[in-house]
Amino acid sequence: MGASERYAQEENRGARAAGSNRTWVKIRQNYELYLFLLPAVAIYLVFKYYPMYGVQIAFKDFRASKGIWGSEWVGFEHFIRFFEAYNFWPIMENTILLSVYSLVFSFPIPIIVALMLNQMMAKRYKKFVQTVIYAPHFISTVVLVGMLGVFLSPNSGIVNHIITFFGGEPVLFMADEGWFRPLYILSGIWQETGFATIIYLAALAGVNPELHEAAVMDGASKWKRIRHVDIPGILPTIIILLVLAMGNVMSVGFEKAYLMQSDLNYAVSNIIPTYVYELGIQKAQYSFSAAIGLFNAVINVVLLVTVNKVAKKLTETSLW
Amino acid sequence: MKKRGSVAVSILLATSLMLSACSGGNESNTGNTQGNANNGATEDAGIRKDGLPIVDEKLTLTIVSPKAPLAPEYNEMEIFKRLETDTNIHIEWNNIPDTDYAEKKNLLLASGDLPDAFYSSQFSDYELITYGQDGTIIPLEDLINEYAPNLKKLLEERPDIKAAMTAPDGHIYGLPTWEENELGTNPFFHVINTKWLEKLGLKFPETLDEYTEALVAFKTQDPNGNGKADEIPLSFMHMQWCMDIAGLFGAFGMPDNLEHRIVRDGKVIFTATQPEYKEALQYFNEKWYKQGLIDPESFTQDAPQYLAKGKTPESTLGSYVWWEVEEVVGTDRAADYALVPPLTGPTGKKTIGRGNGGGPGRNAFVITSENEHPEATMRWIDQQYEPYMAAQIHWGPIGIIYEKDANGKLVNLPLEEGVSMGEFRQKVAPNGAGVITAEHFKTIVDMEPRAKQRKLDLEKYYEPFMEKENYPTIFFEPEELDQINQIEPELIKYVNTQRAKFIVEGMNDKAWDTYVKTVQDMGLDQLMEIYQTALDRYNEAQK
Repeated sequence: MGASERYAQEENRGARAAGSNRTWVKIRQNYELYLFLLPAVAIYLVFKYYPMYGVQIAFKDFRASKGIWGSEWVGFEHFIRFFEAYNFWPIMENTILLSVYSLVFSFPIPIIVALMLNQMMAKRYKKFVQTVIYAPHFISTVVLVGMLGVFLSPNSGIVNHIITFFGGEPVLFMADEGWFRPLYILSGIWQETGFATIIYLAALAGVNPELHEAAVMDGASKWKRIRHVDIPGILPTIIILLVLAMGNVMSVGFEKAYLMQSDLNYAVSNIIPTYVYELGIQKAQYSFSAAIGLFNAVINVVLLVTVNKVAKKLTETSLW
Repeated sequence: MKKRGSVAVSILLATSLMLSACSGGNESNTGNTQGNANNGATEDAGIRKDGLPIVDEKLTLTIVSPKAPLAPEYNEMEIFKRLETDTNIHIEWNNIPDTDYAEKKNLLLASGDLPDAFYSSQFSDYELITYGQDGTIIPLEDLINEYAPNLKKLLEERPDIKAAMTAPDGHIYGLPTWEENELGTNPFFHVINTKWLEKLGLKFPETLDEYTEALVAFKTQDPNGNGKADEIPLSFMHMQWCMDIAGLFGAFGMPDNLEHRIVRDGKVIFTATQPEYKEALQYFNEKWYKQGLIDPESFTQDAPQYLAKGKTPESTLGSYVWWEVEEVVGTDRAADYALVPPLTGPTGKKTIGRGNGGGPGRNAFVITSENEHPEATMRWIDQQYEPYMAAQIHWGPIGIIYEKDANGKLVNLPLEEGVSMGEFRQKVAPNGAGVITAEHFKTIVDMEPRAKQRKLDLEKYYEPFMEKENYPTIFFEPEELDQINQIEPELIKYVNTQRAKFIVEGMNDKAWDTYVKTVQDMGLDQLMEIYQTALDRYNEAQK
């Protein structure tokens, strides 16, 4: 996106100088490109922008029979109710901690794995490893959590059998508050690392081989080549992905947290997305849950913009 | 698992909700105004006022209904096939698995994508009132008078049922369903493995401490004799209907129930902040959980997992809670288990809770504003209030479950070997509408054997020690419902999560005080006041 946008900007500048006629000419010359763009734009308009008007129910007392437009305005009532709720801070804390921990622990791992894979000489073995670590990506969350339940069951799970075999006490993994975040993050790493390496591997493939050759000539070790050639080479990619990940900090995956939730770990597993689901879909408090969801989205946007600004200042790489 | 299946679907639905909300919202406005207008459609569609079939030309209605896990699609169900032949009305069933029903129903209502009616609708009072007053569902009293002779007769004979169904604004929004057999008074039947008791030379527990001793013996003395410590002394499902240990709280002087709300001397008491409750939780933690007597999965398992524990190849279950012995351990092992009557607690107290509510349900059937043939729909549903039909709707059709004896009473046919009535009933009976009164149990239909058994068990074991009062089924004022709906779900959720935590992790006085304070901050006093006011009003009206 970055490159094409810059391209478009430059074009724009040129067009402005020569008047709008030129723009049309350019568009007509390159109409195929715009044609290609059209489906993507259409999808976004229909599925992302059009439904957005429904966000207004966060400021209304939504009644299904009156419809979205017909419901009464109530201003910030729902927001205030959420901010004053007894569980506002716990929920915020749970959401932020879960996502920050996920980010801290799971963001660097694909980079490390990609760097290692990139160094691997045996092509067949490399392909094999790649396939093996991609595979979990295609397991659906429902199945993943089911697997966790089976493997970690205190009565019949293999993990607890191993623990008891060595004389330990069975651990209540799925119900224990303390285990919720580690399990959430570790299973996430197991599932997503392989797939996330793809982008980095592609970036690494783009690093100029001459740099590597020159470094070898200068007697640089493997480790030094990774540090001074590979990492700087993929840094822009890392930054972009980091900015995007930061923008998603508040939108932790809903399904997994919800599926892993139980009465016992509720105190840490109750995060904004599951809370919205519980109230909105199950308890039919649509306006209230829409307000919480909107609040969440606003934080995300703020984070995204801030991190993007910081990244731009520090590294001259940014989304826009 | 119950969550798992539903998530994928609900995400899909959530997405489509956003889209359809826009189209649905505006349409439903117009839907209200034309609503159930009697614009001569009655004659046009050839709907007859009495006699069968109801319509000359086949009519199709769309009806949404939850269905039990084992039930087939309702069109495959024998009783509905017969009903279609009789009435000439074809139902386009939208059957939703009951575990996903609540949220799907909400989405349908929010998106304005309404069927003609909801069957066994599970609308809460709050929903009946809100959707009734905003016109999403229509008032039924006039239709009942005109087009529902069976139901009308029932309501005339039993004004109490009519009173229970009528909303504070004077309308009837949902139709009744009831089996007047008083089986719901205590759903928590505590069961213990008597074979193991005998084997280990233990006496049948009468006090809580004796019960605890038995559980310890189950855990440590290998009663199933396979040399492995694979026995589960006690398994249950935390805060689930008929599977929770709520009954045992009575041993401390104050029983608990799923609402944590009981009534004594006309006063509403919130059990979960009382000292007795605290004492019970401490006991369950120290005596049971810490000693490994409670199956840790009691807090995470779902019903299939729970039911499977009683049917392991080697018997491993020592004690459990379910309102029927066989359904958990299977017919072969049922003889090895027996019900535990209320136990005497450490301070010599013994009582058992009386379930709240009771009386007829008022949400069996609702008709929406989108329905263009409310008269035919009412006539169709009215068939199910004819007593013989009502019985068949509740338990299963003649020829499969019942035969008529010489007195014209429906009696149960013998079941095939190894078939559990509970499971079979799900397959043959929709159990959605219809009322079987106590009178009907005498003349029209014989009570099913397991219900007779349950009634006997209740009378024998529990009723002598049962609380005298309960919180009746009250139709609250809309403002009260609004407040209850805002406070209660989260409050109960918090109380329940803490209850699980206290049992597993234990609790000190400080944790208890913080807990009580949080519950109060959440609006407990206000909530109890609403319940008290409504109860006083109800009692006043009964005089």
